[in-house]
Amino acid sequence: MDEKLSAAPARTPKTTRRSAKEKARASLPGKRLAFDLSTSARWGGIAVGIVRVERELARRAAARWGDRLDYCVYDTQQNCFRRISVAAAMEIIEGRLQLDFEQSGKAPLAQTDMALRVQLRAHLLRRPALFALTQVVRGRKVDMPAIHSLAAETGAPTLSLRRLGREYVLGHARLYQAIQRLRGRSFSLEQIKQLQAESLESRAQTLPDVRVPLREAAPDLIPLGPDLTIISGGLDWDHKNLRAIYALKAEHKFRYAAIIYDLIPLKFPHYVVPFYVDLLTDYFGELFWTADYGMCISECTERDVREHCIENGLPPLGLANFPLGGDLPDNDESDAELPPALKGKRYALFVSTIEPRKNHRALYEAWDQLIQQGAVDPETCRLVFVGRHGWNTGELMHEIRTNPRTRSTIVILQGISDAALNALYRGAEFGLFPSRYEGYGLPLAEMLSHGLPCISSPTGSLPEVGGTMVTYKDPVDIHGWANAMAQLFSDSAELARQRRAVRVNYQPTSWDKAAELFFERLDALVTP
Amino acid sequence: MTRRILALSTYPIAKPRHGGQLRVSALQDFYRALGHTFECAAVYTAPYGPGTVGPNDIKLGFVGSRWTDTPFVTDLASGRFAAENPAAYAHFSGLVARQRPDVIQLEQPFLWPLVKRLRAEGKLDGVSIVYSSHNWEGPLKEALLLNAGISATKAAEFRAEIEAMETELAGASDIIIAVSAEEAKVYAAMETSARILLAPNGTSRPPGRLVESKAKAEFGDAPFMFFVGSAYPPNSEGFIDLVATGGFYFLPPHKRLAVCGGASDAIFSHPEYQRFLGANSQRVHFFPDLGDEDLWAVKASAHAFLLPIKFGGGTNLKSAEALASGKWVIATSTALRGLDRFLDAPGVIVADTPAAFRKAAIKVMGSPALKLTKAERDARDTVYWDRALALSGLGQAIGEARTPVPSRA
Repeated sequence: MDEKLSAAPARTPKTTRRSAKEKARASLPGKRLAFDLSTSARWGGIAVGIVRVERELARRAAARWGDRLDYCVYDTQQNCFRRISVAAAMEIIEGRLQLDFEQSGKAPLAQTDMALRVQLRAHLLRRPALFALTQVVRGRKVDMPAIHSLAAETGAPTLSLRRLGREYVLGHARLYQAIQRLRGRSFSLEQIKQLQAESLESRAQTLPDVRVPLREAAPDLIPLGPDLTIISGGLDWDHKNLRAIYALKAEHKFRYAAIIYDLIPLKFPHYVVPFYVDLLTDYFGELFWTADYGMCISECTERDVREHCIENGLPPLGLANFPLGGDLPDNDESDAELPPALKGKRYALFVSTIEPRKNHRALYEAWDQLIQQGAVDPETCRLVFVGRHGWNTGELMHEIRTNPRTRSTIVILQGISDAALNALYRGAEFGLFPSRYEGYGLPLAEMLSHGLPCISSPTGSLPEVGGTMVTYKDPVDIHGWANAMAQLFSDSAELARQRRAVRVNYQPTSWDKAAELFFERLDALVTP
Repeated sequence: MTRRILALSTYPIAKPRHGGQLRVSALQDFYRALGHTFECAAVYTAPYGPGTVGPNDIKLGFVGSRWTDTPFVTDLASGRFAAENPAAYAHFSGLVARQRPDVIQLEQPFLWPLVKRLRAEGKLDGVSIVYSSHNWEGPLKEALLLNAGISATKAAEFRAEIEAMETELAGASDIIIAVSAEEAKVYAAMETSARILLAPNGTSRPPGRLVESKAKAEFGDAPFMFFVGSAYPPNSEGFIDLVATGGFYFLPPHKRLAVCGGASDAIFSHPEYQRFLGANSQRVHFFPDLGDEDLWAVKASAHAFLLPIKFGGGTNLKSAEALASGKWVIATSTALRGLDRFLDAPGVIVADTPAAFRKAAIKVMGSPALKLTKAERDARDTVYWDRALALSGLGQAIGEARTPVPSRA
């Protein structure tokens, strides 16, 4: 048993005695797997991006591997992997259970989706002195033991303070409008009403029912040994200590399989949020010494990893790739309507976080040209960006908001649900994806899955996803993008032809298929 | 024929540490081994003092605000001080009178004003002048001052002053000892009748018996790279720019790099090093204050030497040391100035960019310990001081130098 942990300073974890079954399994090298849910177990929002991948694979892993599989989370404080029951894992995967990694030792079961006022009180109760101060201000008697007792009863809040603030402000449309104006953004009351509805829907969909202390949910450790492969595909740069895991591996000889999304922070650090450049450089720097296997989300990423390892003299790791699924979990067509700003309009759609790498600027410049030239009708045609506001886009957003030629024709939506996104895909004329580089390009797959003709840049992995279904334009070729968009808006026959071609020829990858390929290829690496 | 040689410098050599001191000290050993007498007299500044200075040395006094208001020009001020300060001039005149040298050897040009005055006053009649040039100093000083934030006008003035001094001294010399072929060419192009010799910098031979390496405790038997540098800023800057940028992720998360000497503090606290502190700390071990014996032991157990030198003239002593070690050497072309014959030598990789340095480090760390043939080993041995100076022709040239006029003897 991996009792390096027995010397750990915090609470000694409850150790697990190996059963006869486990001992038998241990005799088969590489036959035991543990799917790490460290990210999902912390996640409180809509499952997008990496969280989505982790959950989609994890939910199918039990069926694939049966009793070869454990679920686990990584305990950063004690540098160990804690076992999670299948039932608890499924709750995490469905977003109904969150683990509290804070290790306060006192965190009780939290209440379900508390009202905002209760949420705020829960936050204050986590800071008893501050709570006491509020009581003093309100002229109430302060009784610290009572405050601690109340804190224990109330439990941990399920919404972050930031989100709580947003929810509160969003509940007061005029206030929200005023604050957004101060931030240089303009929303009509109608748009705010829509945001309110989406927010409510999102909370109902995604907030976990319960939040449980880590050691309560996972008292046992995963026995580490040469027969074990840990599969990890979350936001590991935030939730793992790879240097400690490297040491743990050296001691117990288990194997580590990492899902690798892209090497953009190493190849194109200028397209990455500055804080994350160092964090991710450090993560990848250690990952390639720690991981035995890299499961890449595209051939492109696999190629990038291979080249990086050769270039940096890093030890070769077993590599394979698998596609991501393109189906959204909510495909109920009657579930959501188009936002009012798009009703009765024809629009081109780009779904991505707004940040320099995604190259919204190219679309904005192209769109400005089209409007200026009269190549699209500003009354009926719209350019739609769906995605949260990322970093380093202040000037672009300012231009979009203030350019009198285009400001009424570019629609920006964020924080929308899967159902609302499905509605947007269904209603779009065609899709756009001008990104400077991608490790996969899930929105392109989703657009094609919805039968949308697409114009995409040919960078990174995008040609793998788009194949011959897509019109490719260089991400810096503004005229090329403008012409391609103008054609699809003006030539209905061509649009229909492309739509038919996509519907007939595009073979979407479902998450079932993606997971099957993932399991199959990982199995081949682990047990060659 | 034995000679009485008096060397003049701007640093004492009682306890040689830095490159210039080591070179003068090596020349002292060389001359004495040939039977000549050799004394050195210096104008020195802090941190030298009791214990590190000899009886012939004198401390720099105040010579004017021009010198105190500008950093890094005490060497230039020393020449003015020795020539113009009555007590200092009396000190050196007395020394010349007592020692009656056949040869005055200037270590760098800075004390030329003193020698010029002694000659003008007839105190060095018939005495041969040897200009032991460590660098072509003018441009180096200008670059140093510009880096220190001194105005371009002022930096150019100092450069011009030094170059004028170097030119005058070269014209008056009987022998010029250049440190690199490039520098020798500069002197050859001047109006001088001096014999121009090339004596690249060398290194001392290691002690016969080594102490146990302190690296053993940190590195075990694993191969490691070795870097040593003083607190002189270009040392840490070169290391950061060429070696440390982007972290040491090309090395496994075990100790694989020894950083020694006074540069350690500046490297450790540099933002680029701190950027990936967690990873770097796994891979790098600092030895900021090793004694000579321990340093020799660490060098002897290293797998490769790193010479990320971006700035400086002449031949770098550390480069000679690295080559003499017989280990893998990764060096900039600047680091191999004066040692150009090793540019394509087996086991020597020239790298002038961070990418090239990294590529070389990956190659070297993935290679077994360097094995040299006898011829290759012999070639590397030529960088030991005794061999380097013997090959320069200096012994013969000094033997043939003119002697002072008998009446002055």
